[in-house]
Amino acid sequence: MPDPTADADIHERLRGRDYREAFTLLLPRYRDKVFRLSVSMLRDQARAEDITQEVFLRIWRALPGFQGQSALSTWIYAITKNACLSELRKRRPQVSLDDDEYDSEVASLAAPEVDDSATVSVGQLLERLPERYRQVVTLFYMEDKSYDQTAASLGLPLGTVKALLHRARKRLIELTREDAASTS
Amino acid sequence: MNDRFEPAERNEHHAAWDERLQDWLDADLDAAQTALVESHLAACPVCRERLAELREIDAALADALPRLALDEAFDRRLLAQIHEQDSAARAEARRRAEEEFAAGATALARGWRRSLVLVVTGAIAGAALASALLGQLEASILTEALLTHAPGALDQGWYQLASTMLLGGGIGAMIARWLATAAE
Repeated sequence: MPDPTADADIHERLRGRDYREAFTLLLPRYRDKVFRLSVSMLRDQARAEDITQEVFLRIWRALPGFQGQSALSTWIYAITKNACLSELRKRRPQVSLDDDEYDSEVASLAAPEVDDSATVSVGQLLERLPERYRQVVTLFYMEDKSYDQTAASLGLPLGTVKALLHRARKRLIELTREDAASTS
Repeated sequence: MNDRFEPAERNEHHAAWDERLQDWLDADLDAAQTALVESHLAACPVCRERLAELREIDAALADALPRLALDEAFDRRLLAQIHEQDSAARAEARRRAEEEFAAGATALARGWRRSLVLVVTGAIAGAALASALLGQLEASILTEALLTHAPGALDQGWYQLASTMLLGGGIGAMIARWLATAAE
């Protein structure tokens, strides 16, 4: 759960309709978090940077309409996830993104080209994980191993993040062993 | 040393300790749990081996997934884009306001011209009709009565003119109103 006292300074500016100042406080606080969440979803830093810019433009335009029904961070991460899903949809417009189908579809949408070189890196092993595992692992390490920030960015309960991360590491160890066995 | 466990037993052992080993690795245990895990590790080669695997994958992930961040150049580009969009929006709003003002002024001028035409037309038509009517009623009872009760200084010509103007004005106003309704 987001801290209800977080971003009190920004909320104060918003109540005073000082949107420019609110945005000036918000940008350095959320810029990198939005960028990392975008990277974890899109798997592409250049596209993630473009999407981060688009997200903050959307935030700037929508800021006067933000009523504080949810935490500011929740609102920002929701905008980010929607922007990333739209970006993924643009590439494969025929794919629907219902919740039940989310994992496999997002994985297929964002999947990079297969690298069949002899040495398998951990990055390549990551691509063989289920999408939810991959996304949690990616964000957890990019967020300096912070469970709280990973949970906040993904909008998942802390326990779910831990469980997914633990399962992901176990699976990565298994994949490493399988890979070693197949090459020996 | 690890041969004291059969593969099945080893899996069970992993299942029992894996979560706590990962929590220990992430420094996510309280003091009592930390002490418990460390004393177990001192006595259990299977868990030490497992911990080595977990450490190895943890280090590889930390290397592969650095804490990405955007720089001030991103902020500058974003703020420039916001400024550009706001300027464009202001210019558009100004252009729209000017267009609306011009349209209003044109409509007002057109309205005045039309009103003037209708009033003049009505007045002329009213005066003509009144003149014709009064010509017919020159020796009527009404004129007689007016002359009988009029002060001596005024002659019949003045009364005819006044009557024509009054009647003409009334008829002209009715005609102008009718023309205005027809024009709508």
